Formats: sequence, structure tokens, C-alpha cells
Amino acid sequence: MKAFVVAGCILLGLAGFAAATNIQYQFSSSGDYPGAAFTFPQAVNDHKIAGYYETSMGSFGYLEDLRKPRNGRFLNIEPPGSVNAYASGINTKGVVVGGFCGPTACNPLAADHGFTTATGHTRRLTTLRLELPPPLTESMAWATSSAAFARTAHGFLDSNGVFTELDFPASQDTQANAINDARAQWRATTSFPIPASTGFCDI
Amino acid sequence: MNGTFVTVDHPNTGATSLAGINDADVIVGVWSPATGRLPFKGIPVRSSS
Repeated sequence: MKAFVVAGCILLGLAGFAAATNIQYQFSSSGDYPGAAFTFPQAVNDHKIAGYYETSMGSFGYLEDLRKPRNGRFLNIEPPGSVNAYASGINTKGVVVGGFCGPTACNPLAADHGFTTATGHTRRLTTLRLELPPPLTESMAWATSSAAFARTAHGFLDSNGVFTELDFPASQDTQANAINDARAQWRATTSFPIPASTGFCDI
Repeated sequence: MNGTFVTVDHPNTGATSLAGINDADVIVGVWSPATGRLPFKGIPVRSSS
């Protein structure tokens, strides 16, 4: 049974053990993509980080293998047909999800297409392109459409090519940003008709 | 999950934004110095309360 929990799920994840322990973090640089102006890590599994970096030419996805030496740990992610791209999620199998665009720079809040990739094989999620004029179909876990009730974005779950829509009740927009291995808990944000955004988990 | 929120701030001055967390609770994000944004990872160090 679905239950939506209004919360910041990253913080909820931390809170799971916060009651029994004090938690502190040992911080270190996760690494800058060579030559990039900015590097934005978006997701991490046991040994890889997925994200995007920005240069004067736009934004681009990357995969960082923490097991490799500093000078050879970054891999550029360039889906076929992309000019700009980003990676926003990675699971324990190393499958990366993200989005990409044409000449317009994009980031996790704006993209034309979603993609998944693993071991160098990229799959375009072209089935996500819907009918509504710009803004075009969004990236790995949300889509834009002209559905009723002035809804402008839907969350979705891609399970082996089977897409299931995910919409937070009464929201104007729903955006699913990440998923865990159990595929039971998502992290996402919504934009309600009132000027507010709310994080939620779909458990 | 029990609804308790834990604030996580990078020890250096500036804003902290978290983007991802894995099953070992390693976090990644960016923190903002006076200019620019810098990527970081955080490894949890737990201690008894």
C-alpha cells in the first residue's frame, strides 16, 4: 500500500539511526572533473559517484570510480545525440540514470530526454517524450505532459521498460529523483499550486 | 525512519547541499565557499550517544 510521507528523504534516511546514535561525517572532496568549472555529484553507490560538471560549453554527465587513481577515475557520460547531459542516479549494479538535451544546457531540473546507461551501453528513454510543447519531456524520473488539472510534470517509475506514473496527491507537479534497490522508497519533490515545494517519499 | 531530522553541514564556512546517499549512508553533495561550489563526500562516523 502506498503511503506518501512528506519529508526530506535524505534527512529521513539519516534520521533512521539518529535516534540511537550521534552521527558525524568525515568530509573530503569527492573530486573535481578535470577542467570543469563546477562539479556536482548527484548520487553515490558503494564505489562510484554519478553527477554532472559544468564548463563554458555547457553541462555534461560524469561517472567517477573511487577505486581508481585520481588521474583516471572520471568517465564522461555522453548519450548519443546529446549536446548537454547530466547523471542523477546510480544503483548498486552501476546503472546510471540521467537526462540530456540539445544545445540548451540542462541539469536535474531541466532536460529533454532521460537515459539509462551501464558498461557503456546507453538506452534513450525516448518513450518519455509526450505531447506537450516546451518544456519538453523531463529526465530520468519525471515527465512533462499536458494532462488534466494543469498538471505540468509527472513522476514515473521505469521497471524494465514498464512505466508507472507517480503523482503526489493534489500536487501540480511531481518529480521523482531517486530510487533505492528495494524500489520501495523514492525521493522526490513536488510543486503545489501554492508557491511551495515539498519533498516526499513514496513507500 | 522515525521522523527525526539531522542537519548536516560541511565544516567549512558556507551552505551545504546534499544530493545523494548510498546504503552505507555515505553522502555526496556540494558546499559553497565565498565563491563557487565544491563537491564533497561524507563518510558517516557513528558514536554512541
